Amino acid sequence: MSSEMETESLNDYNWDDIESIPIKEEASSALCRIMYSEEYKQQLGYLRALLTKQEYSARALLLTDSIIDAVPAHYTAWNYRYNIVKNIDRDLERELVWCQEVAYDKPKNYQIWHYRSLIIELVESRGGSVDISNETTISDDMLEEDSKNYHVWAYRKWLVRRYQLFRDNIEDLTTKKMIALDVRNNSAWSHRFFVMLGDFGETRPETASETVEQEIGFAKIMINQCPENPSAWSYLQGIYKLAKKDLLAEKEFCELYAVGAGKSDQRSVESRFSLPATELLARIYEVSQDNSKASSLYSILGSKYDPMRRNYWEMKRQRLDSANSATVS
Amino acid sequence: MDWKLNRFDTLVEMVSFPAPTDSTATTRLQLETETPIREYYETILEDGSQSMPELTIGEHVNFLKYFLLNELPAPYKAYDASHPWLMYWLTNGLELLKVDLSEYYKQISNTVISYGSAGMGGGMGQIPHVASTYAGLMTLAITGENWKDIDRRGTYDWLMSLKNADGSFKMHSDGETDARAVYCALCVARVLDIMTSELTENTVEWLSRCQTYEGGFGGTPDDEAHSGYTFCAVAALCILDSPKNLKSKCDLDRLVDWISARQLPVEGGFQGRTNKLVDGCYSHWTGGLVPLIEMCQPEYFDKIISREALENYILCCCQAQNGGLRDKPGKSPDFYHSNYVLCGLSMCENKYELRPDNLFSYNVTPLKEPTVVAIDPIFGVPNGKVEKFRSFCAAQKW
Repeated sequence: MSSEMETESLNDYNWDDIESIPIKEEASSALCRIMYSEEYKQQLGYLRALLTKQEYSARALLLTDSIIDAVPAHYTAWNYRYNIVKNIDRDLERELVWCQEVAYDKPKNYQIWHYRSLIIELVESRGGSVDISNETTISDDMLEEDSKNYHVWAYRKWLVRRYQLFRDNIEDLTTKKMIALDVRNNSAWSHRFFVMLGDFGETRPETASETVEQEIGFAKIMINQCPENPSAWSYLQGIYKLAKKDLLAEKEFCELYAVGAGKSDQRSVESRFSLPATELLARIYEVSQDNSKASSLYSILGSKYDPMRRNYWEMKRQRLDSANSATVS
Repeated sequence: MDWKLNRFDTLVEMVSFPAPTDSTATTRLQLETETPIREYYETILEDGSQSMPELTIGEHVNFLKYFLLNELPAPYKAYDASHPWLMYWLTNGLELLKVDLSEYYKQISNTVISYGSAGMGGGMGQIPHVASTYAGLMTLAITGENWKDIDRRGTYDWLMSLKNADGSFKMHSDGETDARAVYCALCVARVLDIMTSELTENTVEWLSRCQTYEGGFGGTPDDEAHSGYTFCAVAALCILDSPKNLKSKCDLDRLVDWISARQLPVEGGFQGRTNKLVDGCYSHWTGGLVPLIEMCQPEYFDKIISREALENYILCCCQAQNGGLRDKPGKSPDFYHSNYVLCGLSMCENKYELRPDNLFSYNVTPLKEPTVVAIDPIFGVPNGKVEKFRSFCAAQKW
């Protein structure tokens, strides 16, 4: 329940001039009808009437609040609200506060984030500005509740893009903190990749290469903490691909954690079996033409460590062999 | 029976996969999900291969049919902006289960057309929405009714009004832009045969930008890789051009690695993102990518994932006792999961190959005696339905 609702109710307004347009499906043979409460039915009837009139007013604004409270996914009400806010002299700061309260009240609601970005664009199109740190705080709060909330992270990326927060101190610290809390939080890794490298190619070459080295180091420290974690390995590989660097440089690092290679031979399967390390090592062997080593890794993955996907590993092994014979001939 | 034995042998391997040993929050949740599933699989193994669960078709039909034909209880108000989806999930789910709904086709179609004819809304009196329109038109593709009532020119103009300069689409006027909207818009344009070069300008490029460093696709460029968006993006690329050209539009090797890694070794079902939990609906969103890749590169057939392991998850974990299919054990069944788990099962049962003569139809070969109808891997309805609707539209002026 939002603050507007605490102080105002639909009954404070006069609706006598509105001829409600009821959802007529009850009379028809429509399927998938929902048993609406009388209250909600009345609100929908008003909504349709006001939409037809294209009325932009305080009572219409309040009506959208009620409907969104009842059905957060009601995009027509959201869209109508946006048009009302644009057309009446609504205080946009109050609108952002309203948004925030709806977000805290219904954290799973995803319409809210797109709506919030529309309001911010509106503020700025009118020459105003928003406090970015407030936006950061709200999304931090939401992520504390649900650290992998896709829509909150997408909103956060929108902020980074809009305000050019690449390598920004707060974004750096937030992602580091969240990765420290849960090194397997892939959303935090994905956000960090964007924050650190999302403008790669547009920055000065020195900045780019400095960031690349720094992030390779970061990924490897995090891999040491949890070698089984695919998020950190993907991050490491992603950087190499983006920066067009040769993965061969990580061969020995991979050998530390891969099964059936080098020093890790003594490792028992149960303790430190890192599938992503083994997969990456096989790929490194592959690109460095060390096909027999790559082949034996693919074999052992299929036969012993990941039998459910044996066809997949076997295909990789066979492709290697056929590439091999193609080179020979 | 061989099939059952294969599944049994696969289950033996699944339960013996070692549990993760780290103590992160992610792993704690993973173990809470994985451990009871492993224990349940062990009890099945003790009972022998003859006790491997099968699809309880009658129960699922009762569940879906009851809700299709009766008024929905008050809590369904949450779906009040998703009426065409309710229609699609229920109708498609029942069709996949081989139920003859023809006596209801007119009623289903009249309901759907009440949501709009030049773009459909989430219910009566709601503004047109691309995803609602996708769900509504797919439902009409199934029923074969009311095709002439669709305003194709109006739909085209409306879609064009939602097109962004970068090639993507908005869901509705002032709505959000993501790969779902692009997929739904292209499905609509294909089925109504209103695909123009103006409508699809820059769209391939935008979709390609959604592929992330992980290999999957995000909702918009730079978002986290997610199966739902990956399916939408890849299926959209397969609408824009033949699946056999997919490899020129994305990093196919990384994509295949990413899809393969989404199959969880103990559960056998799919997760939607790295380090997230298994969910039955990803049988379609992740599993549905498999036939698209197999059509693109026939040598990938039955290599990317284990169909037997996915079937084990679907049949052992996703079936609610009183009918309906679900996310995972402990969750209630719903229409959304019922439909997408069945779509995933259909993928498991069939092999798809491109036909050289027609870009938009496929050769489907059942891999065993099918329990559900073969699905169209791009559009998500029984195979052949979309092409029929499209041919009808192609013969009309607009």
